[in-house]
Amino acid sequence: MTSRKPVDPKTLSAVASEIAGLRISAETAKNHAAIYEPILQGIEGLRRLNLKNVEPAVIFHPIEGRKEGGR
Amino acid sequence: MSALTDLSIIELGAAIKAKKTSPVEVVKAHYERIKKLNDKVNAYVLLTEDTAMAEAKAAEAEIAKGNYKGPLHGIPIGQKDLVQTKGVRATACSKVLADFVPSEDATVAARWRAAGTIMLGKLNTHEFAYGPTNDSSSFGPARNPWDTTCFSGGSSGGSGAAVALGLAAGATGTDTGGSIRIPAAACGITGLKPTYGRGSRAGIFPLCWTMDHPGPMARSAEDCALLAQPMYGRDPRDVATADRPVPDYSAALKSGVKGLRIGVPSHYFFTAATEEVERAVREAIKVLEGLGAHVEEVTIPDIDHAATAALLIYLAEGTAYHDDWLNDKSELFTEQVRTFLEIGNYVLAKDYLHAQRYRTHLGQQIARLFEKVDVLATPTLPIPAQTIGLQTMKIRGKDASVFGSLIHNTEPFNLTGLPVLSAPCGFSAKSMPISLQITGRPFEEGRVLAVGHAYQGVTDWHKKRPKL
Repeated sequence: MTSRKPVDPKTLSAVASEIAGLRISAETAKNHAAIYEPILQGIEGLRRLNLKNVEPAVIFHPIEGRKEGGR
Repeated sequence: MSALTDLSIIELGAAIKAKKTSPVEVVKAHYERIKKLNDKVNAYVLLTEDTAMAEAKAAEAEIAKGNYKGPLHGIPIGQKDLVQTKGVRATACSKVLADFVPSEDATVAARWRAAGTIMLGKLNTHEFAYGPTNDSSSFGPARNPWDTTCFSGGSSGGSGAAVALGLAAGATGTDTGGSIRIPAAACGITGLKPTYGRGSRAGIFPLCWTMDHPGPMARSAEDCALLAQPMYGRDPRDVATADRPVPDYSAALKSGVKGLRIGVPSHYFFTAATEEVERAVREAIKVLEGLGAHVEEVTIPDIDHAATAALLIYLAEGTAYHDDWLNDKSELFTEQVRTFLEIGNYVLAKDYLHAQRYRTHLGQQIARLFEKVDVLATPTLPIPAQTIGLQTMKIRGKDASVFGSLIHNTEPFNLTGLPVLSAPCGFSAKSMPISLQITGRPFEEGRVLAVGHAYQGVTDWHKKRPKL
């Protein structure tokens, strides 16, 4: 389990511009931090659930395509 | 005969079949009503009157020649603007797609067309279906016909308002976190979210690939059964659709509720609801008990994490789909939707996958309940529709987010992909509709429709219409 500090606008601004390639203003970063901090608190609760042996509900299907001729 | 716009689909179909009325008369009556009332609720964002009248005339000629297609032949419907229809502008109620004209029908639209329905126009939606109120739309909010200062619920808000007000006999909805059931409940109509994989998503703008479900919205469970019949089944255009036969939903309606085991969750769904919503829904469950159902309390141990898991999936998948537009056209999104899309940039891949693992976990917990009960009964919405723009309200003396409350009871069943029916079961002190939510096992759409139909056979909440 990781421990984290509350998210601040500077961090979000850096993630947006340096990782996601999205330019946001300082005011937007502040707004995002206020919205995202409670989401992160919910995520911490989810991370604490014991899901070690549970597979994600995402299943890959190989694409078969169409056959023309041959066997 | 009552006004043609008051009749149910089953009544309209019978009248058309018996030639007591014609598709032309029915379609004309609906356009007259739309022209009188649409401005008050902003349900339609585009009318297709010339095409609809031509299709109505063609349907009339086909029926006269004895080529009656079935109970949907000549029935006037609306399509949510998220659903693409060939040659008709589809914007998802976003300026991003202001001029987009699809080159083919969504599968659900094509199937309704083949069954003989006539599209009257395109219906308002929360922009790209990314919200439960329908107040963020490039065409302005869809309004609630019971009180036009209130939201219609979303995202399929135009569908909810149009069907409630008799501006269409039925409509499509799509449901990612509750977007069929929320407006159905807020506007006092009936809506069916099917099992994930029952209905094709092909030709519908995605919000979340793993949680989008298309479904019918109408004024009764019986009408939803008729609309669901041609809508569902395997579609080669959508790999998620299940290769399973579609049962006869109208026949399934007759199964009733005698001996049915109804599970009523002891926490989460009712504790988040206002007292008057809880009273109305518990009263509805008593009605089902009076019809011979057995009721027992059940617990879903880890359901409290549903909102976080659903939000992570909206954020990750929604932002992935919209990423290019968010970079090139971000100013064209409404502020609320743009903010959600921007926030999606911060979600870690491991947390998205953790949310997907939680879906499996929650599904397993509910599957265990379905070993001892046949359906779950809860309120659809913890609150009735509120004033447009209201952000927070008091529920049982505590501050609650309106946005969060609207999706609280519906999104667990998007996560688990289970079939759910929302049916009206009362009114608040302010005369706003309240609804019951019935959830079944995977692919048991017929059973949830049957429960709704049994309830509607002995109550008349679904017959009450707003007066504007």
